[in-house]
Amino acid sequence: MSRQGWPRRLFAAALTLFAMALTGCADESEREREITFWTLSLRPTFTDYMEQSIASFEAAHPDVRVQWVDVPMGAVDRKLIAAAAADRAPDVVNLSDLMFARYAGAGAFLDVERPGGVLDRFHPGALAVGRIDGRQLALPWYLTTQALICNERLLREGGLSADDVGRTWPALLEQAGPFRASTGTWLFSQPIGTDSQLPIMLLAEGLSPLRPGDDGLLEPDLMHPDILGFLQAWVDLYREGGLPREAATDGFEHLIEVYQNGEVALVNTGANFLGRVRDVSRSIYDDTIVLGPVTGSLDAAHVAVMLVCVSARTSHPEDAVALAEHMTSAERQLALARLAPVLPSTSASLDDAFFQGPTPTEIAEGAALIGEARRIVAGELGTAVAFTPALECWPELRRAFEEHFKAVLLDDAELDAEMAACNARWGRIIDAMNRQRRSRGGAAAGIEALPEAIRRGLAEGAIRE
Amino acid sequence: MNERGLVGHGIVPYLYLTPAILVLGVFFFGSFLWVIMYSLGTLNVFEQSFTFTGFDNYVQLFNDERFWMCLGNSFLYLLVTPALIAISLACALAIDAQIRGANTFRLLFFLPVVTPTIVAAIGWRILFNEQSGLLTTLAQPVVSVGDAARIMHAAFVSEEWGLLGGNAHPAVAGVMATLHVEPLSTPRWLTERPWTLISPMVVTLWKGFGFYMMIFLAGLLAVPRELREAAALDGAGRWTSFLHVTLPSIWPTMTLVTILSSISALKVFDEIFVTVRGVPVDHQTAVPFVYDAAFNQGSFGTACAAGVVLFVILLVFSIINLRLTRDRS
Amino acid sequence: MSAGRDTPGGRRPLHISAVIYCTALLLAALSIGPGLWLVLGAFQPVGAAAGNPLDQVVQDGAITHPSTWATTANFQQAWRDGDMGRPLLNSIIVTFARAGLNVILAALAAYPLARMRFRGRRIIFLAILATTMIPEQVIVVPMFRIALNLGLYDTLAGVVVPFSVSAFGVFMCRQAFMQVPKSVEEAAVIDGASSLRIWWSVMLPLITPTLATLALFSIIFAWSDLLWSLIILQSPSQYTLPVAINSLLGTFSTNPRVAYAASVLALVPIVVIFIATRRFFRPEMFGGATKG
Repeated sequence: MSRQGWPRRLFAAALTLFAMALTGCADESEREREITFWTLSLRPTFTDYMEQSIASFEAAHPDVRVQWVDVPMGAVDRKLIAAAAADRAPDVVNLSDLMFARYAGAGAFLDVERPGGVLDRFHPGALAVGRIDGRQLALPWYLTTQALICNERLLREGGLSADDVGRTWPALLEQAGPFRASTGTWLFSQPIGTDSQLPIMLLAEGLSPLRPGDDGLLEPDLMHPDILGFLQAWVDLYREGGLPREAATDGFEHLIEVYQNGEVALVNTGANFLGRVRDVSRSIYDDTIVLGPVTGSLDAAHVAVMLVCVSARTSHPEDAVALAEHMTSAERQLALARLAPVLPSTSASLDDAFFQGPTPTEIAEGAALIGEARRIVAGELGTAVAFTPALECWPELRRAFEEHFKAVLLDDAELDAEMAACNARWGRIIDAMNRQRRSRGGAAAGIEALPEAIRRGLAEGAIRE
Repeated sequence: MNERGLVGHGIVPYLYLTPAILVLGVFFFGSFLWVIMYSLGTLNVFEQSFTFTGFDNYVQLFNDERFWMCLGNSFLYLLVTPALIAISLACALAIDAQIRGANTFRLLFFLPVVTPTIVAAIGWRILFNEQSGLLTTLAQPVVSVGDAARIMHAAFVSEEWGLLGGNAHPAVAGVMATLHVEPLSTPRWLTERPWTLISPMVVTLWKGFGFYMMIFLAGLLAVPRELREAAALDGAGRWTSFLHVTLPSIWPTMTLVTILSSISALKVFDEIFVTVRGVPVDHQTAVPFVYDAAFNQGSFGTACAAGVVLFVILLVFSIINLRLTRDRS
Repeated sequence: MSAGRDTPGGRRPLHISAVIYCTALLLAALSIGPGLWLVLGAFQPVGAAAGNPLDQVVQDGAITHPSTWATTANFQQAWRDGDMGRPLLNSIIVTFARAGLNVILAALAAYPLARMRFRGRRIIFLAILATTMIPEQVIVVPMFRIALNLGLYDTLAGVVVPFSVSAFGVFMCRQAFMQVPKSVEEAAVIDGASSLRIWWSVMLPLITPTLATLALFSIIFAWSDLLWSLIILQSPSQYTLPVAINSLLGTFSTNPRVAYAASVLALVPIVVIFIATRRFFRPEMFGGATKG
């Protein structure tokens, strides 16, 4: 019937569209092997760098095609879990040391150690972060160490200067209260709730929250009086209003915001952050000086490590490992460090003149401070330690700690009671991890999971005994 | 006409429904079946392994005090519904009364509805800034709300002498803990109870009142004007006329707004995520609990079990809601 | 108040008017506040003091020269860095496809639910409504798996198809169809028209206002969808605007104002569409949804 014709045609058209939508993505058959590589928030700043790096890899491996996907930092957990649930985890993925262990513990990654391989080119501390239960589950990529970034004008307002400002946390905690009272701004901020830095800070103080028990296996030790004392000082300062509330709730991002708003005088953070201060708030940048980082009593700065991992379920493991090795090569890392205030994890790269101070271009652009910060952080790398323990349950331990510590900060719970609960929970988490390790034929975690500096201290009895 | 309807017999109605059923069936019910299955075991997405554990996840969930506190908070969040109805109805009445500039106001009030959440979030975080935000400046009058809540908390759940003593069910205790605040000078909008719940509620109000206002306006248009004018001529006061003429005739609209806004209040996520992200999970509501379990804690089974429980609660809640409001009309 | 139209019958006392206006103005200010804030931030030049953008606009009680607080540099950089052209086009495609499909599929499904009697009608309707009670946060993971198996990964179709019909839309259209008097259909049946023809040329024109409303809501939701798009898309060539903006907020991006500028670029089209179509956006349009 002709008058029924056109609605029918519409229907047919809609169905065709639907079918086209369904089939539209079917890939043309490919002879090449394709591997997917996820990075964290490198676009748009490093688009060119990544494209060059991939092009040089593809030139060396003509039958491999790399598909690069850049994932925003805040979306990576969601995307990775969804992709893995559909058995489409990326072949190669870049993760921070904070995220890595959790997925490693779930069996997400391959051992990337190859006979005659490349492991000896890396900073040993950075390499150790990726080594779990005797298996090298990740290669270190770039590093960020910290520097103490100071707003000199604010410091002066509070009667302090670069010379007499505290360079250890206990000293800073002492100065924070009077500074707040006299200026109305804060002396410093530090993430202690969300993304809590306290577990790492404890390690850096030589107050290890984990120590080997009589059987040599790691046990939680949060109830040690020195540890409780260190934590209590932070709680007291927060409760008195001596830290911005974001210190409890907002993680690292808040450091940039409170600093560029002129609300805090000091932040101890990565140097990559200076560029943003310069772009957002010129006047604050002009008042800024850079000092070496706040350290604990071990006198070593903490290094945060970006890692490159290979999915355990990749169908092209050798190509994927080759890509991970290519991205973390000394040459590629030096090229990356030239573009951004990050440090290479390949020890040899640090000898480059680039790390000895500001370049002429930087001086000409009024960005000498950035070059200076780079010199300071690179200089530290010799003594710096990646304090992150090589335990797949570390993220879970941190999360448990954050939960209990936030209850203290935000719900006025008692520190001792919460830490006792946390200590017991840590024990259960570690037991569960050891059970899982044994069921896979591995060994329960002992002292080898702790950074070398801590091991040495514990062995010599120098730490806390 | 006959009871079978005028048009369409046999297979015809199903043909009309096919596309919608396909899409919703495959993507929503299909996904939900997976969720039910995942809730009955332990899933390791990276090893593609699944271990059936029966109802363990549910048992664990019901023993998790934080889950009960989140559920309690979700029900507290329902307080946003009467506020939404009051504000949007008041706006609708004012615009319906054709105050000067009514069209402009209608347009402006609708702007928050079209503002993408990612955009609104930036503005709201600035407003809520505890150091310099506008709200901190305007804070003093509201401090007393905190005091009232503190007294209520003490009266009900204080361990020494409260009416419920220390034996309150975790859900009740959760509600009460949320109401519990210490006396303060400057409220910490984004970190302290009860603000951790009130701040996102303010954003929900902001985002929703324009939408519900439009729905009320449509309802008001359907009230015959003569009816209201007759009431006015009778000398009935504004309030009497509203109560006896306007309100009954917009009752169906009221039902719709109540159901829509309370379902979305129980499902709230975005507003909480953009304002108080970072506070302990038990300050938050049910859907953020699900999110936290799935993507932060990595316990997908628990997340799915919580999702199933939430679905059942929403279903029961909507059915009760429909029954109650239908009886009125 | 409802009886207080400006008719001879009921003039409002002055003090009540004052309260009404003050409240309305306050609400209006709140409504545009966050958007305005963002726009000012997006125009701020590099190096301006951070914090309250109004501080720079108004200094010492006077509005300062625009050059101290406004620049278009952020917009230029956002357009360049975010490569916004392609995402803009993708967003337009996705948004209109989603709105079009939502209207057609909802109107199709709602017709038998409103006007036909058949086995399972009640159950089907309730099942459709029940989809609104499933928390999205937990179904994204299995939904991704299903979409992937259907070959929708990293395609614009993948953004569109799962949300091409909504329970809300079906509900609205059903209510609207139920308002149409039976006599309209009777006449068409006597003429011998088929049911599809009646649906298309008799029923749909009668519920145009509802369809227009539904289309606009679909546009609003599709335009700002981030959660799902972020998961289903991975190539920059497929990015929609919110995904592209989100990637500008990365840790190395040096200037948040560039992200603000990108957000403004995303906000402008939707506000323009809304203002341009406000003629359709009269309260009458919601009539269909109001008769419970």
